[in-house]
Amino acid sequence: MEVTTTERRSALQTIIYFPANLLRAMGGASMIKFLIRRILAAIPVLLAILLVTFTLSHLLPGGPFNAVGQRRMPDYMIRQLEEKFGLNKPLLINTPNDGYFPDGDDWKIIGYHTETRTEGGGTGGEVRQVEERVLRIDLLNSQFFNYLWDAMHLDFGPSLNVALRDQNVQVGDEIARRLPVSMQVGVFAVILGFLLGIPLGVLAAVYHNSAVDYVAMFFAVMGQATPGIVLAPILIIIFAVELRWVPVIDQRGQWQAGPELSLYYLQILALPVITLGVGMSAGIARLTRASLLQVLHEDYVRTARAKGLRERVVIYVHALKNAMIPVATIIGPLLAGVLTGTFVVELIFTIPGLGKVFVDSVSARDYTMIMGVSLLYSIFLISGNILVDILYTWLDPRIRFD
Amino acid sequence: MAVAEGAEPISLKEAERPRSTPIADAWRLFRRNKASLVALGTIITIVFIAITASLWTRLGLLDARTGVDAMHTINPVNQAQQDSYPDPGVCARDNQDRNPYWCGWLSGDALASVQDTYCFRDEPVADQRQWCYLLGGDSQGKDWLTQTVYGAQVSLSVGFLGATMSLIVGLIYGVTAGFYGGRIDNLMMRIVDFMYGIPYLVLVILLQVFFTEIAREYQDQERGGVVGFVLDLNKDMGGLLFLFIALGSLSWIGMARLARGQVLSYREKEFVEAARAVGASNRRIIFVHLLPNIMGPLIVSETLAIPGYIFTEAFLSFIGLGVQPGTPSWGAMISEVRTRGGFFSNRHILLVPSIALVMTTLAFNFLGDGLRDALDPRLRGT
Amino acid sequence: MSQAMPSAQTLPQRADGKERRVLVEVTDLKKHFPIRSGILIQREVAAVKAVDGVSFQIFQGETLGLVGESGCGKSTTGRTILQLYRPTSGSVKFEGQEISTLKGEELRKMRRKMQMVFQDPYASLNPRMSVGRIVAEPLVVHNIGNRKERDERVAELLELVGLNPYFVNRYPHEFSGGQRQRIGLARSLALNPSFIVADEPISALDVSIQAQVVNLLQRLQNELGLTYLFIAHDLSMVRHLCDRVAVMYLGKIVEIAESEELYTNPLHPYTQALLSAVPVPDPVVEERRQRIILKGDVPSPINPPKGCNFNTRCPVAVDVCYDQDPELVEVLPDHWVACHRVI
Repeated sequence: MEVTTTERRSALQTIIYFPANLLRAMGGASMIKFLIRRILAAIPVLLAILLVTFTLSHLLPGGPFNAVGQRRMPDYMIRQLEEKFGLNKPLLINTPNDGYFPDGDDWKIIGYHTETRTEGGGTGGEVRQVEERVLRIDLLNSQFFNYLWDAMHLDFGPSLNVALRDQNVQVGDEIARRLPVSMQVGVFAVILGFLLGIPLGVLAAVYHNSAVDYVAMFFAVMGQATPGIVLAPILIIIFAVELRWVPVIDQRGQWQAGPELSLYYLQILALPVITLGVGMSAGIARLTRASLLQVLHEDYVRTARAKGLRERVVIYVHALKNAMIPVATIIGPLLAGVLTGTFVVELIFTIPGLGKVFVDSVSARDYTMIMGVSLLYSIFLISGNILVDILYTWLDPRIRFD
Repeated sequence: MAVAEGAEPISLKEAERPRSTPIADAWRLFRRNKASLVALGTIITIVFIAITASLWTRLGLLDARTGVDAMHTINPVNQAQQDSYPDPGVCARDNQDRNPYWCGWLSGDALASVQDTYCFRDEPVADQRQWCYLLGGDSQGKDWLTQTVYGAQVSLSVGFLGATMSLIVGLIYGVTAGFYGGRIDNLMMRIVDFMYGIPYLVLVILLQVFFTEIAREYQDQERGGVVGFVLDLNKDMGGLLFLFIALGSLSWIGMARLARGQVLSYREKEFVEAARAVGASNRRIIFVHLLPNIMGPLIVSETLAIPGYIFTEAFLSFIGLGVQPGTPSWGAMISEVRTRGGFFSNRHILLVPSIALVMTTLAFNFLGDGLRDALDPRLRGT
Repeated sequence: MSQAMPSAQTLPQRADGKERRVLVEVTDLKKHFPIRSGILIQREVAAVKAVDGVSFQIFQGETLGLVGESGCGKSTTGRTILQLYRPTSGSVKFEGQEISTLKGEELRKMRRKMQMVFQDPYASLNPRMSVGRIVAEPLVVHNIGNRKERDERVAELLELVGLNPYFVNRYPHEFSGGQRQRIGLARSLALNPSFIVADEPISALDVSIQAQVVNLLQRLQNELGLTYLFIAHDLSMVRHLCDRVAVMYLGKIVEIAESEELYTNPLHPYTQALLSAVPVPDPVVEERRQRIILKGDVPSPINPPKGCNFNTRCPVAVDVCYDQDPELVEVLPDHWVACHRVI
């Protein structure tokens, strides 16, 4: 009894002290230096990605107010809307020749402008028009740099999509609403991938070249060769249409409501998570098997056997721990791929997540949304890449940060 | 000069000894993996069928690839058909009246006046062809077997060309960076790091939307110059050209990293130094000493990447951003399942292209495994 | 920091009065490998001073041994002489011609006269080339002869190094280490060089094979009049093979002398320690052999100590050793030592 409580406490302590221990295990200061360096290096990358997506999305023919499939608006209304959302400004650089002139002032590379600002109007206060001299760089008074300036203040602008702009929906809010939906699928799929993949891989390695191995590897190879667009309709036909165990699509708004411990939640979660998780588990299973097979031939495992340890102890204590190193590092690309992976699944199962938002925003020329979602995906991808490097270093002490 | 100390006596069987060249060794290792032999056979078969598809059409064994000829209005012969999807094995009589019967009466100026509005030049009047759907068909009466065979053309060309392009670009980039090292390497690898931060599907979708819109915009216009040529070429390829560009935009960076790593591991090897010591040029060192040694792992990795290209094309076609509408593609065929009745009956709509897709990617996976055993000694046995 | 150079005027005469012609003359040779660091812009933060001011001469027809611990810069010295690494500073003269400034075609021509034999017989042959192509490569690169003439030359070379000419179509992986080293030797002889740098050519081989390769090297030297720079860490083999021996420590030469002289009368404390580690085949002498165990490790070549490089481990170091770098001076005829305590 005593023993179990100690163990439990130590497990709790492990969790509490995990960040500090992780840091120490990874070489403390050098890890932080590495992290800072990588984050600093990521900033120009993110800027460049913003520039690329900005250019590319503005290159698309048409605009948010006259995209294909929308009701045609009179030109003056389009101009008004463009002015409202700042789309009348130059795209990248505001040059004096074709540039956008601030009201009543001259064009200056850098200089003071008189701006009128409305003040007061709160509880009982009177409304005043305040004139103010503001220092501005006219060269950068363009759509891109205005967006960049706002984005640096975590303001990603209003959505330009016809369905959202009338309600003045902010891109940041919309993403915050849709991201959890995508994450639900992604995170549960990663969990399923590991829960399914590691035991399969271990079984295949332990019973190497036996029927178990062949069945496990057949499953893994099939899982890798079956894309979501094949697996998903098959699952729908079997479980939703024929067996009627799950609904084809969510009709209660459960995705937005978030996780809860109910049968209905499990029902709508099951198919998307299986679709995404099976592919992941296939890769994990093959990696686990290969890694464990390699470790089982190492000298220290032979030593453990020679000591007379039971085979189970040899495999699960000595070998598996080391075999997990390459497997654990797959979590980086997996997490980075979670969002892009859910992309496919979301579109097939019509889940109202980010993937859906992105595809809609592209066809609606919703520039701010395109850039917001791309930025988020890029941040995920880069964090995933950094995580891989950190995990490698943490798990394999031979690799150091430099 | 006499044979000096330590030399082996000449074996009498020297001439009969099996040749042990690197290629012969690789083939011997590859042959040991029966699954990859089967996979190789499967791929060769699929490639053969895809290449000769138009021949089968001409022989009447397959239906037309696309256009009006590929569609049939179903007039059930053998079975009372509830919906318009032909089931596998059903034979139907094509009674589509393409030209009004009176077109046959006209000639000369009279025909010319109604040409392109009522009467179409090259079409036979109301041919009553019988068509048998071996694997069923879709709501437009397209033969699913024909579509699957022609869809293989798209998937295979995306797979092979995607792999070849990414191999060539990645190889040139990676070898340049790795071989010349220093500042060039540093700059080139920063660019690669940057590209690693771009989400693949986001860029591919943006590019594909851009390309399809451009293609649509200039659909009816004549454009000269390079742009017009590229647009025409893309149109003739059923939208595949732009798809290659979109898919290839980022796929080469992994290859570039791998190629650079390989070059770095061989660049300091003593045999490269030996070549330098005899005065070999950089070109000779790259082409004679480095490339033959680094190609193995690159080819393996590219083979294993082919299913990825095929998946991406299928997914893009599935959401309508892939090949041009009307071009047969497995992804577009699978997306038919979402149309009326697809989920509830007519399972062949889903199963036929799915089996083709899975079989092909399975074959490439096994082929890659076999090639790895044969060409990449580092990973042997894993 | 230049070391006293045995000048060309004083040394052509050997101690025994025989004429000697200088083939290779190395003067104050330095090779520093830069260490770069930085996120976006790489700047040089330090340098590994692999070779840090080395001067010596190699005479026509002799074998000069270059010994020292691993990492002391002896391989780098060999490669820098051959211009496989371009020197940071200093000069290398071959037959009186400065080669460290040669470029392009001139350097390529010069490479015909000097060749290298490598340490690792498994890494020094391209696994994708047949033996015939490997040995013929120098001929192809220098565009010598037509195909038939090259085939004949390859057969001749293979025979010269004691290999069966039937092997031309085989690939390196079918050969043993000793055979591979012979193939490498055949390749380096293809252009009829007069000078060969042998970079530990036997240390990767089985002991039983080592003697064969050494005998082959000696036979080739006699037959072809070759000059060797023999880089090694096996001191007994160096004594057997070399006319003169240079001892390197941390990028510098600490002692050069005739082979017998060095082994019987080592003057530098480092040489003494090195030689005391060699077992003697005579049990009586072996019994009395005093091992000098050096304390500590070799300092990093990025940051060598001030003064004499050896001062961190030297058992006899005095104040001046921590302050001034000793110069290489001739203390006995043909016996040069860089040590403050010897003079």
